[in-house]
Amino acid sequence: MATKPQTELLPGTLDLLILKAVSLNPLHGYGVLVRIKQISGDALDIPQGSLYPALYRLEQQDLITAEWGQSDNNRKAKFYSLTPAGRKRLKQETDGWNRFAAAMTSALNTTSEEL
Amino acid sequence: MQSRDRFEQQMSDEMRFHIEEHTRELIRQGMSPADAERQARIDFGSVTVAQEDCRESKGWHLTDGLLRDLRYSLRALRNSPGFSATAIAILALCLGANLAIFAIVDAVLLKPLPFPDSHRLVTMYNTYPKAGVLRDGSSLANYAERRQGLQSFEHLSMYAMGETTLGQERVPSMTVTREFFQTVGVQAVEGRAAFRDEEMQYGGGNPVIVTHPLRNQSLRINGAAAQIVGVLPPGFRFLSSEAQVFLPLRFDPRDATPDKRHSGGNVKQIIARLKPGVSIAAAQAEIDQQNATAERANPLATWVADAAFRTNVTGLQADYVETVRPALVLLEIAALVLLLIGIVNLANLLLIRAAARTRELGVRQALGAGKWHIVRETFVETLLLSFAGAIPGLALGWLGVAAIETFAAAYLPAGTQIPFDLRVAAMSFAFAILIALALALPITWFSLQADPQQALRAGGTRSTTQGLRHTFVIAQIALAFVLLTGAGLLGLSLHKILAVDPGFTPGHLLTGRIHVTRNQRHAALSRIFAQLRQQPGMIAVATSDNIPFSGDVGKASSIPKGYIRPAGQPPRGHYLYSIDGDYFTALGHRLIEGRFLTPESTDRSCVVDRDFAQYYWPNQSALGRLVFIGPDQRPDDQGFRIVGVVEPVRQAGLAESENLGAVYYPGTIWPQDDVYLVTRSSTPLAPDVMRHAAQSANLPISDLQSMDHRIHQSLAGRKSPAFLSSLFATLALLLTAVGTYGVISYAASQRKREIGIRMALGADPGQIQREFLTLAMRLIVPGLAFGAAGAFWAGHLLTVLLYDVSVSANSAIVVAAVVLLGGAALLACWIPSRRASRLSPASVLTAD
Repeated sequence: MATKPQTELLPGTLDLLILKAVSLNPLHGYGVLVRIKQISGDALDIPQGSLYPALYRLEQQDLITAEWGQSDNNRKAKFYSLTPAGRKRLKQETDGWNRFAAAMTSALNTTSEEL
Repeated sequence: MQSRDRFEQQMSDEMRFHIEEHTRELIRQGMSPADAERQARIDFGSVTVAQEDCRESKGWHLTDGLLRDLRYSLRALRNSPGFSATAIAILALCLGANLAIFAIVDAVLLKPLPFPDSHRLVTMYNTYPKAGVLRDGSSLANYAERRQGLQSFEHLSMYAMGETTLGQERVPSMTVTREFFQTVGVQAVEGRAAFRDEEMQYGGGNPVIVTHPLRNQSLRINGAAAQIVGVLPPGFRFLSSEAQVFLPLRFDPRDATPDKRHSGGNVKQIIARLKPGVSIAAAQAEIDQQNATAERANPLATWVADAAFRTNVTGLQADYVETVRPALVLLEIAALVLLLIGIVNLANLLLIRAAARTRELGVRQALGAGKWHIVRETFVETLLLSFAGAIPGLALGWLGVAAIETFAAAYLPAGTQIPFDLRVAAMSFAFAILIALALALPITWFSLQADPQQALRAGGTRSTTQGLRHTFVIAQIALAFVLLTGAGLLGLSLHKILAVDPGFTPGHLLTGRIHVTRNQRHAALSRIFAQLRQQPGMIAVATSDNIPFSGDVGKASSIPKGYIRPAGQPPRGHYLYSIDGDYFTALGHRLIEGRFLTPESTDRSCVVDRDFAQYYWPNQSALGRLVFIGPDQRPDDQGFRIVGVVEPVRQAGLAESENLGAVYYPGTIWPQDDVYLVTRSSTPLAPDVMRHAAQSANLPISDLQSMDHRIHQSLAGRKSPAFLSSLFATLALLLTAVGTYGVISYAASQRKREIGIRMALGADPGQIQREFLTLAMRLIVPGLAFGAAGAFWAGHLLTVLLYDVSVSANSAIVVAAVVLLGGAALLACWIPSRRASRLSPASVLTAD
């Protein structure tokens, strides 16, 4: 069982994580969950049920595309992969996130001497 | 829906796969299969919620809600088939009527003429209202002087509609000046759509511009080979003219001199194209200015001024539809009033139903149905109803247009196409949506007002909309009243016109037009007359250059010898006829004194009608007096001696009101080229017999019609509005009865318990019935009062269409409408009130 302390997701970050997860290689829904846990070092608490509405929303926005294929254990599964539009969006969001994180880090680490 | 099913299937497959994979993972981590599956389900959370969220991500939830509402509404409509059928029938009838009328109004009044920038096209005509000549076209002199020096127009041209001999047939044709097609804005698809200067001169060859179907034919026009110089685009037609050939309008410059400015005769018309940005008012001002300058030098100036001469400039389209516009506008208003009655009626029925469903609504609101949801549901329901009505309404409208095209074509401008196309269909659905909104509003208002808690209390269905419902009934009665009186006035007017004496004797009269030149005249007419007189049952054969109901209402001058017009008295135009053969016998003229003209006689005699005789010689005999053709006194040997006086005939139509006076001259002395052949026989003469008789003299004949048919055609403009408005009025009467019945019968059902208790306590059934009738009178009396006020207004609007009829002079129509409508409404109230008063107390009190 998970023993590490888990962080709740900030609103809107799930979409970014999904885009990142499927940018590496096509994944089915459960695979997306496993991949996010893996790349985040198991530190994020992903509400499993809300993964699918997010996937459908991204598919509706043409950021990811879905295709039926075979899973590792030879079962029919729906695989999601990034579209060119999704790749562009991922790049934008990543840049935005990095700027935001850097700004937040800088702001929060400020000490009185630096003022 | 298939994609929707697949979506649902794939979504649950996908989620099941997720849970199974997670379970496998947990088992791999050492859980027991049962625990693992349980844990996987807990980790996933609610599948239902996730699925609902997924549907929302895909936008399905919007259609889901609507579908649910639609199913609910369909069920509700199926559960009350009587109500649904009534509602759909009302909508179909009202929409059908409106679509048919709208299609016609659209085609005739709204659609621009099919020429480029047609809003810049104008026509102008001379009018001499005080001389009884409302429209006299334009003269060659007008054309000559207006072609130069006017700033308002880009092009100005003249045309005349007529007939030409093409091969062996008389066909409609037009003669046009050089820049006619340029003015209209039409270009040739082959050759040129313009005549050259030399072609406009006498002796300038036989050039012709033809419509597309004639392009590759070799044509003989008026007996000579014609040269086609231009071909018009396919489908070209100029207003009502059916002309296929267009010839140069040639004239002698001596006929265009200023002294002949006022000899228009309504044959030649001017059409002009305004320069961009110039208004009709500006053009009118310029023409007025030019007329004023020209009249200063005119020796006839006082004559012209006394006749109140003016040149009217009007838009070509406005002028073209002028005669039909009033009737069409009024029919459109009547159709809209009918639609309004229908909507009010339906709104009332729906309100009653909504009131009956208050309890259901209360329960649902208590169970958490939101107000917005109930509003949406109401709108879906009214939308469903109005679309259900719109589909049969579309069919009815299409039938209506077909019927009008068949029966009233003569009344619409010739060549009118009434397209019942996608545009009209789209219009009907737009109408349907508007109706749905109009219907949904009062019900929504009611539903939002209703207090769900109160609704749930037993029997607590005291409704808040009683006032609204009653207002609706009053409005219906008032509107129906206006339609009924309007239809009554039109019907009575038609009845009076049909009873008018045309002044001649109807019977088996056949008429047709021939063109006969002066040289062939004597031989040709003798031959035709001889051949027709041999026909069995033939009573009389004649020709005249004009006959009643031919549509030719041109007037001209004729004055008695020695007549000096009193100063300020307007000059007077008369109908002049040039006749041959037994014309008076053929038409069945009635002689007042003297005798008819002797056929083929070359005496300088003439016959006048009573109006002419009384105008110049009141209370004296006209016999033996001399009359001259034209406005001037002449030597005696150019005069015609009056040998007889006849009853006047209605030349322009049965409703003609002016007594203009007529003079009948012998064709032997005053011949005309275009004449009507007229026969009277004891049995109907076959048109072919007349055609062959004309052909035996090598004369093609056209416009072959019986006189009865001409009279019938002349009334088309009155019969169709009268018929349609009475149809609308009948529907309105029916709707009003249904609406009143619905409201009173609802009131009765609401008070069932109270009535039951009162009856049980010994109340008088008569008393209860009287209470309902009092309620009915509270609706009917104000309805009729408002209606009567509206009827006077409608009568005023109708004035232009009425003949010898008005609301104030024919108040019997108002009384009849009161009796009819009041009676119907009262009956509609009496039935439910009687039923209420006959209720058995026991059955009522045990029912709940």
